[in-house]
Amino acid sequence: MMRFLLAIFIAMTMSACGLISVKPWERDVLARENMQLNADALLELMDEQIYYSKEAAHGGKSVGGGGCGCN
Amino acid sequence: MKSIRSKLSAATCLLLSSAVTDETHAKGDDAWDVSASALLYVEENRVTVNEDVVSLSKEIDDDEFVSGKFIFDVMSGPSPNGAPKSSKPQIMTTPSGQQVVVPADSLPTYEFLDTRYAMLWDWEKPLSRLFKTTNSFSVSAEYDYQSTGMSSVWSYDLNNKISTITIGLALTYDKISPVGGVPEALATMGSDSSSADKYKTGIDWIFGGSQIINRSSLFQINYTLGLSKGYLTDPYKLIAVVDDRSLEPEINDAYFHEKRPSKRLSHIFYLKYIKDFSGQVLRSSYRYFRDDWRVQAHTFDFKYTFPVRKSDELQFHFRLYDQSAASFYHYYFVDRTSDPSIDSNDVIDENVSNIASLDGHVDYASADYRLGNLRTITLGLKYSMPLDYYQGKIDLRVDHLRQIDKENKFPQLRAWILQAVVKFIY
Repeated sequence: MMRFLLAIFIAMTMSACGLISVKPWERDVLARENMQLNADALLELMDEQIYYSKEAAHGGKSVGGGGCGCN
Repeated sequence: MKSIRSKLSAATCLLLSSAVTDETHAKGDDAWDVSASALLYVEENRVTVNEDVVSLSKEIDDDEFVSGKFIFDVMSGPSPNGAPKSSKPQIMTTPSGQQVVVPADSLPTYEFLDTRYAMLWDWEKPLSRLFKTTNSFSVSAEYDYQSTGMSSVWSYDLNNKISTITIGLALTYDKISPVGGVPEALATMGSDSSSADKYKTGIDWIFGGSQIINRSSLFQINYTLGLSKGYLTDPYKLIAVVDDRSLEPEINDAYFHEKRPSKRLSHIFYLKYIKDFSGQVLRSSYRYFRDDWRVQAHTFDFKYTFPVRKSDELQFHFRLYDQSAASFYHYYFVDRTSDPSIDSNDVIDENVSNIASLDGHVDYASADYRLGNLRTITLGLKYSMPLDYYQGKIDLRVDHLRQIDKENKFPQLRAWILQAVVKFIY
Protein backbone atom coordinates (compact mmCIF):
# COMPACT_ATOMS: atom_id res chain seq x y z
CA MET A 1 0.00 0.00 0.00
CA MET A 2 2.73 2.47 1.01
CA ARG A 3 4.80 1.62 -2.07
CA PHE A 4 1.76 1.91 -4.31
CA LEU A 5 0.96 5.38 -2.98
CA LEU A 6 4.59 6.43 -3.26
CA ALA A 7 4.67 5.27 -6.89
CA ILE A 8 1.51 7.28 -7.67
CA PHE A 9 2.94 10.33 -5.98
CA ILE A 10 6.25 10.11 -7.84
CA ALA A 11 4.41 9.65 -11.16
CA MET A 12 2.35 12.77 -10.50
CA THR A 13 5.28 14.93 -9.57
CA MET A 14 7.33 13.66 -12.51
CA SER A 15 5.10 15.92 -14.57
CA ALA A 16 7.34 18.67 -13.22
CA CYS A 17 9.94 17.46 -15.71
CA GLY A 18 7.88 19.10 -18.42
CA LEU A 19 8.21 22.61 -17.02
CA ILE A 20 6.88 25.33 -19.23
CA SER A 21 7.24 29.05 -18.87
CA VAL A 22 4.07 30.53 -17.36
CA LYS A 23 3.70 34.24 -18.00
CA PRO A 24 2.27 36.42 -15.22
CA TRP A 25 -0.99 36.96 -17.16
CA GLU A 26 -1.40 33.20 -17.46
CA ARG A 27 -1.61 32.64 -13.70
CA ASP A 28 -5.32 33.10 -13.19
CA VAL A 29 -5.82 29.52 -12.02
CA LEU A 30 -2.69 29.60 -9.87
CA ALA A 31 -3.88 32.81 -8.18
CA ARG A 32 -7.02 31.14 -6.83
CA GLU A 33 -7.13 30.67 -3.08
CA ASN A 34 -7.42 26.88 -3.28
CA MET A 35 -4.22 26.73 -5.36
CA GLN A 36 -2.09 28.42 -2.70
CA LEU A 37 0.49 26.33 -0.87
CA ASN A 38 -1.12 26.96 2.48
CA ALA A 39 -4.72 27.55 1.51
CA ASP A 40 -6.28 26.03 4.64
CA ALA A 41 -3.89 27.52 7.18
CA LEU A 42 -6.11 27.14 10.23
CA LEU A 43 -7.19 23.60 9.37
CA GLU A 44 -3.60 22.57 8.83
CA LEU A 45 -2.50 24.25 12.06
CA MET A 46 -5.08 22.25 13.99
CA ASP A 47 -4.16 19.01 12.22
CA GLU A 48 -0.47 19.56 13.01
CA GLN A 49 -1.37 19.93 16.67
CA ILE A 50 -3.52 16.78 16.72
CA TYR A 51 -1.09 14.53 14.92
CA TYR A 52 1.85 15.93 16.89
CA SER A 53 0.21 14.54 20.00
CA LYS A 54 -0.58 11.13 18.46
CA GLU A 55 2.44 10.25 16.31
CA ALA A 56 6.22 10.27 16.65
CA ALA A 57 6.88 12.16 13.40
CA HIS A 58 5.98 15.78 12.93
CA GLY A 59 6.92 18.89 10.98
CA GLY A 60 8.20 19.27 7.45
CA LYS A 61 5.73 21.76 5.99
CA SER A 62 7.37 24.80 7.53
CA VAL A 63 9.13 25.87 10.70
CA GLY A 64 7.77 27.63 13.77
CA GLY A 65 4.49 27.37 15.65
CA GLY A 66 3.62 26.85 19.30
CA GLY A 67 4.61 23.78 21.29
CA CYS A 68 2.59 21.69 23.69
CA GLY A 69 2.99 19.02 26.35
CA CYS A 70 0.51 16.86 24.45
CA ASN A 71 -0.65 13.88 26.48
CA MET B 1 0.83 48.20 -29.31
CA LYS B 2 3.99 47.12 -27.61
CA SER B 3 3.52 49.82 -24.99
CA ILE B 4 -0.05 48.67 -24.21
CA ARG B 5 1.11 45.09 -23.96
CA SER B 6 3.95 45.97 -21.62
CA LYS B 7 1.64 48.03 -19.41
CA LEU B 8 -0.91 45.22 -19.36
CA SER B 9 1.84 42.79 -18.45
CA ALA B 10 3.05 45.00 -15.65
CA ALA B 11 -0.48 45.41 -14.27
CA THR B 12 -1.18 41.69 -14.47
CA CYS B 13 2.13 40.94 -12.88
CA LEU B 14 1.30 43.24 -10.01
CA LEU B 15 -2.11 41.64 -9.56
CA LEU B 16 -0.78 38.13 -9.65
CA SER B 17 2.57 38.71 -8.02
CA SER B 18 1.55 36.54 -5.08
CA ALA B 19 0.54 33.64 -7.30
CA VAL B 20 2.52 31.17 -5.21
CA THR B 21 2.44 32.36 -1.65
CA ASP B 22 2.37 30.64 1.65
CA GLU B 23 -0.81 32.27 2.77
CA THR B 24 -3.68 34.31 1.45
CA HIS B 25 -4.15 37.80 2.82
CA ALA B 26 -6.69 40.59 2.71
CA LYS B 27 -5.48 43.43 0.54
CA GLY B 28 -6.55 47.00 0.95
CA ASP B 29 -6.57 49.94 3.31
CA ASP B 30 -7.54 49.12 6.88
CA ALA B 31 -8.90 45.70 5.89
CA TRP B 32 -8.50 42.97 8.48
CA ASP B 33 -8.46 39.36 7.37
CA VAL B 34 -10.28 37.57 10.18
CA SER B 35 -10.59 33.82 10.73
CA ALA B 36 -12.18 32.04 13.65
CA SER B 37 -12.11 28.31 14.22
CA ALA B 38 -13.82 25.99 16.68
CA LEU B 39 -12.58 22.42 16.82
CA LEU B 40 -13.75 19.40 18.76
CA TYR B 41 -11.49 16.35 18.88
CA VAL B 42 -13.11 13.32 20.48
CA GLU B 43 -11.44 9.96 21.04
CA GLU B 44 -13.69 7.02 21.82
CA ASN B 45 -13.35 6.36 25.58
CA ARG B 46 -10.29 8.59 25.88
CA VAL B 47 -9.26 12.19 25.39
CA THR B 48 -11.49 15.09 24.36
CA VAL B 49 -10.03 18.40 23.16
CA ASN B 50 -11.90 21.61 22.50
CA GLU B 51 -9.74 24.11 20.63
CA ASP B 52 -10.75 27.63 19.63
CA VAL B 53 -8.63 29.94 17.48
CA VAL B 54 -8.99 33.52 16.31
CA SER B 55 -6.63 34.74 13.61
CA LEU B 56 -6.20 38.36 12.52
CA SER B 57 -4.10 39.56 9.62
CA LYS B 58 -3.57 43.02 8.17
CA GLU B 59 -1.54 44.62 5.42
CA ILE B 60 0.40 47.46 7.07
CA ASP B 61 2.39 48.50 4.00
CA ASP B 62 2.76 47.37 0.41
CA ASP B 63 2.94 43.57 0.64
CA GLU B 64 3.88 43.82 4.30
CA PHE B 65 1.59 41.91 6.65
CA VAL B 66 1.27 41.30 10.34
CA SER B 67 -0.87 38.54 11.76
CA GLY B 68 -1.70 37.09 15.13
CA LYS B 69 -3.30 33.83 16.19
CA PHE B 70 -4.85 33.39 19.61
CA ILE B 71 -5.51 29.80 20.68
CA PHE B 72 -7.37 28.38 23.64
CA ASP B 73 -7.59 24.62 24.30
CA VAL B 74 -9.30 22.51 26.93
CA MET B 75 -8.02 18.94 27.10
CA SER B 76 -9.46 16.23 29.32
CA GLY B 77 -9.92 12.50 29.64
CA PRO B 78 -7.91 9.35 30.23
CA SER B 79 -4.56 8.92 28.49
CA PRO B 80 -2.71 5.55 28.41
CA ASN B 81 0.18 5.56 30.89
CA GLY B 82 2.23 2.84 29.18
CA ALA B 83 1.35 -0.09 31.45
CA PRO B 84 -0.21 -3.13 29.72
CA LYS B 85 -3.60 -4.69 30.30
CA SER B 86 -3.85 -7.43 32.91
CA SER B 87 -6.39 -10.10 33.72
CA LYS B 88 -6.19 -8.91 37.33
CA PRO B 89 -6.85 -5.45 38.81
CA GLN B 90 -3.72 -3.27 38.88
CA ILE B 91 -2.88 -0.71 41.56
CA MET B 92 -1.30 2.40 40.07
CA THR B 93 0.10 5.53 41.68
CA THR B 94 -0.94 8.66 39.83
CA PRO B 95 1.54 11.53 39.23
CA SER B 96 -0.10 13.45 42.08
CA GLY B 97 0.56 10.52 44.44
CA GLN B 98 -2.91 8.97 44.71
CA GLN B 99 -3.45 5.26 44.37
CA VAL B 100 -6.07 4.05 41.93
CA VAL B 101 -7.24 0.57 41.01
CA VAL B 102 -7.36 -0.25 37.32
CA PRO B 103 -10.06 -2.87 36.72
CA ALA B 104 -9.07 -6.22 35.20
CA ASP B 105 -8.74 -6.28 31.40
CA SER B 106 -8.64 -2.48 31.22
CA LEU B 107 -5.85 -0.42 29.72
CA PRO B 108 -4.23 1.61 32.54
CA THR B 109 -4.68 5.33 31.99
CA TYR B 110 -4.16 8.58 33.85
CA GLU B 111 -7.00 11.10 33.89
CA PHE B 112 -5.96 14.62 33.09
CA LEU B 113 -7.53 18.03 32.67
CA ASP B 114 -5.53 20.91 31.27
CA THR B 115 -6.01 24.19 29.48
CA ARG B 116 -3.61 25.72 27.02
CA TYR B 117 -3.25 29.31 25.89
CA ALA B 118 -1.10 30.07 22.87
CA MET B 119 -0.31 33.10 20.77
CA LEU B 120 1.54 33.23 17.47
CA TRP B 121 2.63 36.40 15.70
CA ASP B 122 3.89 36.63 12.12
CA TRP B 123 5.47 39.58 10.37
CA GLU B 124 5.89 39.20 6.63
CA LYS B 125 7.99 41.89 4.99
CA PRO B 126 9.29 42.24 1.44
CA LEU B 127 12.91 43.36 1.36
CA SER B 128 12.85 43.86 -2.38
CA ARG B 129 10.60 42.93 -5.28
CA LEU B 130 11.86 39.35 -5.15
CA PHE B 131 13.09 38.93 -1.60
CA LYS B 132 10.76 38.38 1.36
CA THR B 133 11.19 37.51 5.01
CA THR B 134 8.65 36.13 7.48
CA ASN B 135 9.49 36.35 11.16
CA SER B 136 7.39 34.61 13.79
CA PHE B 137 7.17 34.48 17.54
CA SER B 138 5.05 32.11 19.60
CA VAL B 139 4.28 31.40 23.23
CA SER B 140 2.06 28.79 24.82
CA ALA B 141 1.28 27.88 28.39
CA GLU B 142 -0.32 24.87 30.04
CA TYR B 143 -0.40 24.00 33.73
CA ASP B 144 2.71 21.85 33.40
CA TYR B 145 4.29 23.07 30.16
CA GLN B 146 5.44 26.39 28.74
CA SER B 147 6.84 26.89 25.28
CA THR B 148 8.47 29.85 23.55
CA GLY B 149 9.49 29.84 19.92
CA MET B 150 10.73 32.09 17.19
CA SER B 151 11.45 31.56 13.54
CA SER B 152 12.68 33.41 10.51
CA VAL B 153 12.03 32.28 6.94
CA TRP B 154 13.64 33.95 3.93
CA SER B 155 12.36 33.40 0.43
CA TYR B 156 13.61 34.56 -2.95
CA ASP B 157 11.69 34.48 -6.24
CA LEU B 158 13.42 33.41 -9.43
CA ASN B 159 12.54 33.09 -13.11
CA ASN B 160 9.84 35.74 -13.17
CA LYS B 161 8.35 34.31 -9.97
CA ILE B 162 8.00 30.83 -11.38
CA SER B 163 10.38 29.47 -8.76
CA THR B 164 10.88 30.37 -5.11
CA ILE B 165 13.68 29.20 -2.88
CA THR B 166 13.29 29.25 0.89
CA ILE B 167 15.59 28.97 3.85
CA GLY B 168 14.46 29.19 7.45
CA LEU B 169 15.47 28.71 11.04
CA ALA B 170 13.30 28.08 14.10
CA LEU B 171 14.23 27.97 17.78
CA THR B 172 12.10 26.67 20.66
CA TYR B 173 12.62 26.73 24.38
CA ASP B 174 10.26 24.69 26.56
CA LYS B 175 9.86 24.37 30.30
CA ILE B 176 8.32 21.21 31.77
CA SER B 177 6.90 21.27 35.32
CA PRO B 178 5.23 17.87 35.77
CA VAL B 179 2.37 17.39 38.22
CA GLY B 180 3.86 15.70 41.28
CA GLY B 181 7.42 16.65 40.28
CA VAL B 182 9.92 15.14 37.86
CA PRO B 183 10.14 11.38 38.47
CA GLU B 184 13.52 9.74 38.56
CA ALA B 185 14.04 8.11 35.18
CA LEU B 186 13.74 4.29 35.21
CA ALA B 187 12.88 4.26 38.95
CA THR B 188 9.83 2.43 40.25
CA MET B 189 6.44 4.10 40.06
CA GLY B 190 5.75 6.30 43.07
CA SER B 191 9.41 6.73 44.05
CA ASP B 192 10.77 10.14 45.04
CA SER B 193 10.54 12.89 42.49
CA SER B 194 12.33 16.19 42.07
CA SER B 195 10.54 19.51 42.25
CA ALA B 196 13.02 21.16 39.86
CA ASP B 197 11.70 22.10 36.43
CA LYS B 198 13.11 20.52 33.30
CA TYR B 199 13.89 22.18 29.99
CA LYS B 200 14.27 21.29 26.37
CA THR B 201 15.44 23.25 23.37
CA GLY B 202 14.85 22.75 19.68
CA ILE B 203 16.41 24.07 16.54
CA ASP B 204 15.08 23.42 13.03
CA TRP B 205 16.63 24.39 9.74
CA ILE B 206 14.46 24.29 6.64
CA PHE B 207 15.64 24.43 3.05
CA GLY B 208 13.13 24.31 0.25
CA GLY B 209 11.44 25.81 -2.68
CA SER B 210 8.35 25.87 -4.82
CA GLN B 211 7.96 25.69 -8.55
CA ILE B 212 5.13 26.49 -10.94
CA ILE B 213 4.97 23.56 -13.36
CA ASN B 214 2.39 24.96 -15.78
CA ARG B 215 -0.79 27.05 -15.74
CA SER B 216 -2.58 24.56 -13.51
CA SER B 217 -0.03 22.88 -11.25
CA LEU B 218 2.81 23.56 -8.90
CA PHE B 219 4.89 21.73 -6.35
CA GLN B 220 6.82 22.45 -3.19
CA ILE B 221 9.79 20.60 -1.79
CA ASN B 222 11.33 20.99 1.69
CA TYR B 223 14.10 19.40 3.68
CA THR B 224 14.09 20.02 7.43
CA LEU B 225 16.87 19.17 9.83
CA GLY B 226 15.70 19.20 13.43
CA LEU B 227 17.64 18.88 16.67
CA SER B 228 15.99 18.65 20.10
CA LYS B 229 17.97 18.52 23.31
CA GLY B 230 17.14 18.35 26.99
CA TYR B 231 14.29 16.62 28.79
CA LEU B 232 12.57 14.63 26.03
CA THR B 233 11.14 12.01 28.40
CA ASP B 234 7.41 11.93 29.12
CA PRO B 235 7.14 12.25 32.92
CA TYR B 236 3.71 10.57 32.98
CA LYS B 237 4.62 7.38 31.12
CA LEU B 238 5.52 4.04 32.67
CA ILE B 239 6.90 0.75 31.46
CA ALA B 240 6.08 -2.57 33.14
CA VAL B 241 8.17 -5.67 33.80
CA VAL B 242 5.93 -8.71 33.40
CA ASP B 243 6.21 -12.27 34.59
CA ASP B 244 7.63 -14.62 31.94
CA ARG B 245 4.79 -17.12 32.35
CA SER B 246 1.70 -14.98 32.70
CA LEU B 247 3.10 -12.03 30.67
CA GLU B 248 1.39 -9.74 33.16
CA PRO B 249 2.70 -7.51 35.97
CA GLU B 250 2.57 -9.69 39.10
CA ILE B 251 3.66 -7.25 41.81
CA ASN B 252 2.92 -3.60 42.62
CA ASP B 253 6.57 -2.64 42.07
CA ALA B 254 6.60 -3.90 38.50
CA TYR B 255 6.12 -0.44 36.97
CA PHE B 256 8.98 1.94 36.18
CA HIS B 257 9.21 5.48 34.86
CA GLU B 258 10.33 5.72 31.26
CA LYS B 259 13.53 7.35 30.01
CA ARG B 260 14.29 8.69 26.53
CA PRO B 261 17.59 9.97 25.13
CA SER B 262 18.26 13.65 25.80
CA LYS B 263 18.98 14.34 22.14
CA ARG B 264 16.96 13.74 18.99
CA LEU B 265 18.15 14.52 15.49
CA SER B 266 15.54 14.29 12.74
CA HIS B 267 15.51 14.57 8.96
CA ILE B 268 12.30 15.37 7.11
CA PHE B 269 11.73 15.33 3.39
CA TYR B 270 8.44 16.93 2.35
CA LEU B 271 6.88 17.18 -1.08
CA LYS B 272 3.59 18.87 -1.98
CA TYR B 273 1.86 18.81 -5.35
CA ILE B 274 -1.21 20.87 -6.29
CA LYS B 275 -3.08 20.38 -9.56
CA ASP B 276 -6.20 21.97 -10.99
CA PHE B 277 -8.44 19.85 -13.23
CA SER B 278 -10.74 22.47 -14.75
CA GLY B 279 -12.04 23.69 -11.42
CA GLN B 280 -11.45 20.52 -9.43
CA VAL B 281 -8.31 20.63 -7.34
CA LEU B 282 -6.02 17.89 -6.07
CA ARG B 283 -3.79 18.81 -3.13
CA SER B 284 -1.38 16.03 -2.22
CA SER B 285 1.70 15.68 -0.09
CA TYR B 286 4.22 13.08 0.97
CA ARG B 287 6.52 13.28 3.98
CA TYR B 288 9.40 11.02 4.90
CA PHE B 289 10.64 11.32 8.47
CA ARG B 290 13.54 9.60 10.18
CA ASP B 291 15.48 10.29 13.34
CA ASP B 292 18.30 8.90 15.42
CA TRP B 293 15.76 7.19 17.69
CA ARG B 294 15.29 4.95 14.62
CA VAL B 295 11.76 6.13 14.03
CA GLN B 296 10.89 6.10 10.35
CA ALA B 297 7.57 7.38 9.10
CA HIS B 298 5.80 7.88 5.79
CA THR B 299 2.83 10.24 5.51
CA PHE B 300 0.57 10.60 2.48
CA ASP B 301 -2.13 13.22 2.38
CA PHE B 302 -4.64 13.68 -0.45
CA LYS B 303 -7.39 16.29 -0.65
CA TYR B 304 -9.65 16.48 -3.66
CA THR B 305 -11.96 19.48 -4.01
CA PHE B 306 -14.75 19.93 -6.53
CA PRO B 307 -17.39 22.61 -6.94
CA VAL B 308 -20.98 21.84 -6.01
CA ARG B 309 -24.10 23.94 -6.49
CA LYS B 310 -23.42 27.54 -7.43
CA SER B 311 -20.24 28.43 -5.57
CA ASP B 312 -19.84 25.86 -2.81
CA GLU B 313 -17.06 23.29 -2.62
CA LEU B 314 -16.82 19.75 -1.32
CA GLN B 315 -13.49 18.22 -0.38
CA PHE B 316 -12.57 14.60 0.25
CA HIS B 317 -9.61 13.91 2.50
CA PHE B 318 -7.48 10.79 2.86
CA ARG B 319 -4.38 10.58 5.03
CA LEU B 320 -2.20 7.55 5.64
CA TYR B 321 0.59 7.54 8.21
CA ASP B 322 2.90 4.60 8.84
CA GLN B 323 5.57 4.55 11.52
CA SER B 324 8.24 2.12 12.73
CA ALA B 325 9.11 1.92 16.42
CA ALA B 326 11.84 3.81 18.24
CA SER B 327 14.83 1.63 19.16
CA PHE B 328 14.08 1.86 22.89
CA TYR B 329 10.35 1.16 22.57
CA HIS B 330 9.12 -1.99 24.35
CA TYR B 331 5.55 -2.93 25.01
CA TYR B 332 6.89 -4.27 28.31
CA PHE B 333 9.95 -6.02 29.66
CA VAL B 334 9.84 -9.71 30.51
CA ASP B 335 11.38 -10.95 33.75
CA ARG B 336 13.28 -14.00 32.41
CA THR B 337 14.35 -15.44 35.77
CA SER B 338 11.98 -18.38 35.80
CA ASP B 339 12.36 -19.31 32.13
CA PRO B 340 15.91 -18.59 30.86
CA SER B 341 15.05 -20.01 27.44
CA ILE B 342 13.07 -16.92 26.46
CA ASP B 343 14.88 -15.20 23.61
CA SER B 344 13.77 -11.65 23.11
CA ASN B 345 15.03 -8.08 23.10
CA ASP B 346 12.48 -7.31 25.79
CA VAL B 347 14.00 -9.31 28.67
CA ILE B 348 15.40 -8.30 32.04
CA ASP B 349 17.68 -10.94 33.63
CA GLU B 350 16.83 -9.99 37.17
CA ASN B 351 13.86 -10.80 39.31
CA VAL B 352 11.70 -7.71 39.23
CA SER B 353 11.03 -7.89 42.96
CA ASN B 354 14.77 -7.30 43.56
CA ILE B 355 15.16 -4.13 41.53
CA ALA B 356 14.21 -0.60 42.46
CA SER B 357 15.30 0.82 39.13
CA LEU B 358 15.86 -0.34 35.58
CA ASP B 359 19.00 1.82 35.55
CA GLY B 360 21.94 -0.47 34.87
CA HIS B 361 19.70 -2.95 33.03
CA VAL B 362 18.72 -0.69 30.14
CA ASP B 363 19.91 2.71 28.88
CA TYR B 364 16.53 3.94 27.71
CA ALA B 365 13.02 2.54 27.73
CA SER B 366 9.54 3.69 26.80
CA ALA B 367 6.23 1.90 26.38
CA ASP B 368 4.51 4.98 24.99
CA TYR B 369 2.43 3.55 22.15
CA ARG B 370 3.16 6.71 20.11
CA LEU B 371 6.75 5.48 19.74
CA GLY B 372 5.63 2.02 18.63
CA ASN B 373 4.85 0.45 15.28
CA LEU B 374 1.67 2.20 14.36
CA ARG B 375 -0.46 3.28 11.46
CA THR B 376 -3.01 6.08 11.27
CA ILE B 377 -5.72 6.26 8.63
CA THR B 378 -7.83 9.40 8.30
CA LEU B 379 -10.87 9.91 6.10
CA GLY B 380 -12.68 13.21 5.97
CA LEU B 381 -15.08 15.57 4.26
CA LYS B 382 -15.08 19.36 4.13
CA TYR B 383 -17.86 21.57 2.85
CA SER B 384 -17.11 25.22 2.03
CA MET B 385 -19.55 27.95 1.11
CA PRO B 386 -19.27 31.70 0.66
CA LEU B 387 -21.11 34.08 2.97
CA ASP B 388 -23.11 37.00 1.69
CA TYR B 389 -21.27 39.60 3.74
CA TYR B 390 -17.66 40.81 4.12
CA GLN B 391 -16.37 38.45 1.41
CA GLY B 392 -16.88 35.75 4.00
CA LYS B 393 -16.51 32.01 3.74
CA ILE B 394 -17.36 29.16 6.05
CA ASP B 395 -15.68 25.72 6.16
CA LEU B 396 -17.24 22.75 7.93
CA ARG B 397 -15.29 19.56 8.16
CA VAL B 398 -15.45 16.18 9.76
CA ASP B 399 -12.52 13.76 9.86
CA HIS B 400 -12.40 10.28 11.33
CA LEU B 401 -9.06 8.84 12.29
CA ARG B 402 -8.19 5.31 13.23
CA GLN B 403 -4.85 4.45 14.79
CA ILE B 404 -3.68 0.86 14.75
CA ASP B 405 -0.85 -0.77 16.64
CA LYS B 406 0.70 -2.94 13.92
CA GLU B 407 1.67 -5.49 16.59
CA ASN B 408 -1.94 -5.68 17.82
CA LYS B 409 -0.96 -5.12 21.43
CA PHE B 410 -2.62 -1.79 22.08
CA PRO B 411 -6.33 -1.36 21.44
CA GLN B 412 -7.26 0.59 18.35
CA LEU B 413 -7.76 4.31 18.77
CA ARG B 414 -10.72 5.91 17.02
CA ALA B 415 -11.31 9.64 17.01
CA TRP B 416 -13.49 12.27 15.36
CA ILE B 417 -12.39 15.76 14.40
CA LEU B 418 -15.18 18.30 13.94
CA GLN B 419 -14.21 21.81 12.90
CA ALA B 420 -15.90 24.99 11.73
CA VAL B 421 -13.88 27.89 10.30
CA VAL B 422 -15.33 31.30 9.44
CA LYS B 423 -13.25 33.73 7.37
CA PHE B 424 -14.14 37.28 6.42
CA ILE B 425 -12.59 40.62 5.62
CA TYR B 426 -13.49 43.45 7.95
